[in-house]
Amino acid sequence: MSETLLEIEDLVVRYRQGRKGVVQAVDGVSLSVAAGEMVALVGESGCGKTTTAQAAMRMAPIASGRIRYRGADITALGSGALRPIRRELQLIFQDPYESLDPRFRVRDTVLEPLQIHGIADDREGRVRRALERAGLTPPELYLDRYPHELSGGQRQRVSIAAALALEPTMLLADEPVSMLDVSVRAGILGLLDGLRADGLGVLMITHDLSTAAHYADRICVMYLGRIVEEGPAAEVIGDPRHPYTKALLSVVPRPDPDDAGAPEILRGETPNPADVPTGCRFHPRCPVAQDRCRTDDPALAPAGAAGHRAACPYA
Amino acid sequence: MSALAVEDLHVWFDLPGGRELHAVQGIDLALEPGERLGLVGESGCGKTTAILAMMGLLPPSASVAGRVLLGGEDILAGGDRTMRPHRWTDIAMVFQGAMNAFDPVKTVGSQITEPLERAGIASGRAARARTAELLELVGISGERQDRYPHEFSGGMRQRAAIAMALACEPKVLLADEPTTALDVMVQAQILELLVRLTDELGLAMILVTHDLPLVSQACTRAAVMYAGRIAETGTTRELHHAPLHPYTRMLFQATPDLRGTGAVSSIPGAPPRLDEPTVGCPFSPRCDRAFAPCAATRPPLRTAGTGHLAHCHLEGGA
Repeated sequence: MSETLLEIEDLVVRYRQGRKGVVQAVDGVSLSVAAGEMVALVGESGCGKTTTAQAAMRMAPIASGRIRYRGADITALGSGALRPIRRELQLIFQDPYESLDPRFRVRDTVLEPLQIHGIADDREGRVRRALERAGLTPPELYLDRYPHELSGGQRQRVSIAAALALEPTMLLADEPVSMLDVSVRAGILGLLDGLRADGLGVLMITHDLSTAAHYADRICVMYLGRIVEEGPAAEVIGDPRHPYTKALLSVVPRPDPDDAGAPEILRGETPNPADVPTGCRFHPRCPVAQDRCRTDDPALAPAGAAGHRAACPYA
Repeated sequence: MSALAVEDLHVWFDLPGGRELHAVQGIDLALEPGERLGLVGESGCGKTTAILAMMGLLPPSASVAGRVLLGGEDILAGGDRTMRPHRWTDIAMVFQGAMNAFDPVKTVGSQITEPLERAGIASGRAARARTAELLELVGISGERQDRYPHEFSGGMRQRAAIAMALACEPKVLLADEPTTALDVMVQAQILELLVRLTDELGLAMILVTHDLPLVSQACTRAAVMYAGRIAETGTTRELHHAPLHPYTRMLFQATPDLRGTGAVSSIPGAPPRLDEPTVGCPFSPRCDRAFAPCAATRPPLRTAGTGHLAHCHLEGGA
């Protein structure tokens, strides 16, 4: 069994909205990521997936719950004590057009985290190795270039190289390919998959179930601040148990025109975390809701194969 | 007769220093009433430029050549003079990001009513009634016309943008990435709406997108654009099951399928610059089946059955 790197336990994150409103962005989320494992956190916008990742990085206010990194509780660490943890846990952003400073050459972008973390030895070697690991080979070809001289895929590789310069043990990737052209997405996802195979833990946030199905080992489906279903990727995709997961999967457009399936289009809007329904939070949109769903708030329970859980009494 | 036919459409942009960028390099398209055609390709392939040219909405730095036939009449021939009477009334467009283009200080309804009044289609109470009708058509209660854009969700604003494009009952709708940036469930709702509108109103639609699965599910035919040209066109079934052009096949291979087990592979390299002339097939540097003639000579037109065409040196499919 590989070492568990990140453990999130019963995480609650609240934001103030307006004068007296409170938004419960994350409401009791638990998940873990092991070395050599890619976990995908999927869901619609506003479901709390990005906030969950930010809280794991201690970049969001944690109301309650625990974050552990390699067994050590980091929930309440001060910024000084967090530094070595931040070095191990690196974030990859969605938009390589915005996350790279246009005035920085590739060398400076990859060097910057080393400077911030006060790493002085063998900087040039570290930068070169990071570029090579990110697939920018030979490094000489890229070191002196500016972001505007690079394609979108190359830019994202530069931001991944900057994360790798610190030799992290875990990556949090927030929609790492959604801003990129279809033709280069597979290359970036393949790169993350290779890093996972090298033993890194990867938590990938995505709204794209096809990507999660293809690359993740495990999938957690979020709805309104909760994980409503989780399990091995093949189980969640092949044998979904929660009505929300079933509906989401049914509307994913398939490349084969003969494979239309039976889309189950939920009415209404993407739900609002400032207005969480009572009982099961999915019940107002649920096609199989019963009376008890208005009042009972279901917890995750085993459903289907080993390690597969869903928060629905009818799963 | 086709609802819309485009013949040998070219667009050039003037660049500083007297240079030119040949963004659209001679494309042909035809749509029957009620037909949905997908126009797909990577960013920069010229798909948005092509539909803006069909609407006559390109900036003055662009020059356009070719024919855009609406019900048999070439609306491109006389420039704005022949284009203006048809724009919005016969051919309309939903712009990319339209849902974020509403004026935040005016009600959604007034932003639909205004163009109705300006076009002389309806005024006063009749215009309000027509606005309500248009909103109902896209699944929004007519009473909500007095609400402001911020009171609408992204999906509702996109519906309202579609309603706005339909205000003058066009026969052709050009939709540029109408579901990009929407959640998957809202995307499904908008696609369902567009399919229903084309079926019910006999509206011909070009769906411009980079997302092949979207086209596979919503359209009967598609044109795959590359470097300003149409690499391949055919039914979505032909493109998926029996592509003639390696670019089409490689685009599908780059797209993960929910239940697919096959490897997903990116397409190496990047599209060519369009400000210098290309020799041979523009896709050849990235193509996994390129051979001697590809870099040297323009690929010939290949056909496999009616309406399934590709520009490729390969014989017998990709």
